[in-house]
Amino acid sequence: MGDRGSPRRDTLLGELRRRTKMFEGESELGERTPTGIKGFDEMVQGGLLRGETYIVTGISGAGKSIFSLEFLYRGASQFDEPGLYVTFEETMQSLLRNGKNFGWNLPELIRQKRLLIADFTLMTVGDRALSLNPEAFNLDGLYVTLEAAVRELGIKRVVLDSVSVLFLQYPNTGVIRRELNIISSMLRKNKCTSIFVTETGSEPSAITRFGVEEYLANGVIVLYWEAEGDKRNRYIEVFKMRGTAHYMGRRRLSITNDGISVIY
Amino acid sequence: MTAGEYKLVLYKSQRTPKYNQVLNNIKKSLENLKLDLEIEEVDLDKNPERALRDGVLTTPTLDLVGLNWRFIGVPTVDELTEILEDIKKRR
Repeated sequence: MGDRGSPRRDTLLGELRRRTKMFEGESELGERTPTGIKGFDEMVQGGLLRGETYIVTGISGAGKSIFSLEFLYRGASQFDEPGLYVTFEETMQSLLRNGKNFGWNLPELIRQKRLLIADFTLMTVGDRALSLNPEAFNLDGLYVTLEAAVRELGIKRVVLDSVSVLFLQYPNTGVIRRELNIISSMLRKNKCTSIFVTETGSEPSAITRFGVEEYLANGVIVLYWEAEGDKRNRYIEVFKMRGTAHYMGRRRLSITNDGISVIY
Repeated sequence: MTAGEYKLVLYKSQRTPKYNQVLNNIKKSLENLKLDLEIEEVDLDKNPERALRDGVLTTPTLDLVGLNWRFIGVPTVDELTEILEDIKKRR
């Protein structure tokens, strides 16, 4: 009784409140955000875990960029979750053209600041002479761009397409892996649900081309196609999804007039 | 093009102070050489829009405007000397 109001008691109460808040935070991280991609959310208990990072990987032409762009489009247009698409390969014009083909009015979402496309392609395909010290650098240019977008525009969904370009451009995979981990942590802290796009290695056992990116992520979604007779069929498979009772096995995937559709 | 038309842009951030110390040393060395070279320092933490505008993913990054040359990471003295010799030849 005599302890009431004492500095020691206040400290203990403060600690208890802090710990309770931590658990409240945990339950918030258990929330799911629907991707809005037809048929996909049913494979993963209704959507992706809010604030987590996912790898979308696959061979060329499997639909990785369309899947990722649709994740942002649906988020911005249907779920009040503004998105940021960071592109290292495909130009902004090309992304806008792709969106238009599906009837997505991306320029309008950009005008409303519900979608931002950060085009870093010039950096990788420009005619600039480039020297590199592979040991001493970090990805702070990318980090501050993401952080500013999250802080100033309230970004809730992020796509990096593709992080394989970073591994190709910078020979020190250890540095890139460390930096992507730091970026992933910052996005998680800000409750941004993120997709890091990568490419599948030639070996089926290597889910991603560099064999390291999958360790950064809460889940791995693999897209691929197979030649069957005289046509190619696309498939989608959830390889890993922490905290989610996901569908084990592949589903057919179709690219329709208005986006991606997982077929049952 | 004269040397006065060249500009060195040093992109830095606050996360790795040891890189900034090296950049400061580089800046001082270049100023002592009196090359008539404008030097601009860009702190990306304070100016994140410059990262996107200038296509800068990494720090430190050194851009030599006028020579279309970019260095990613911390350059050695030899590497810098080589590029500065190139500038001198063009004067």
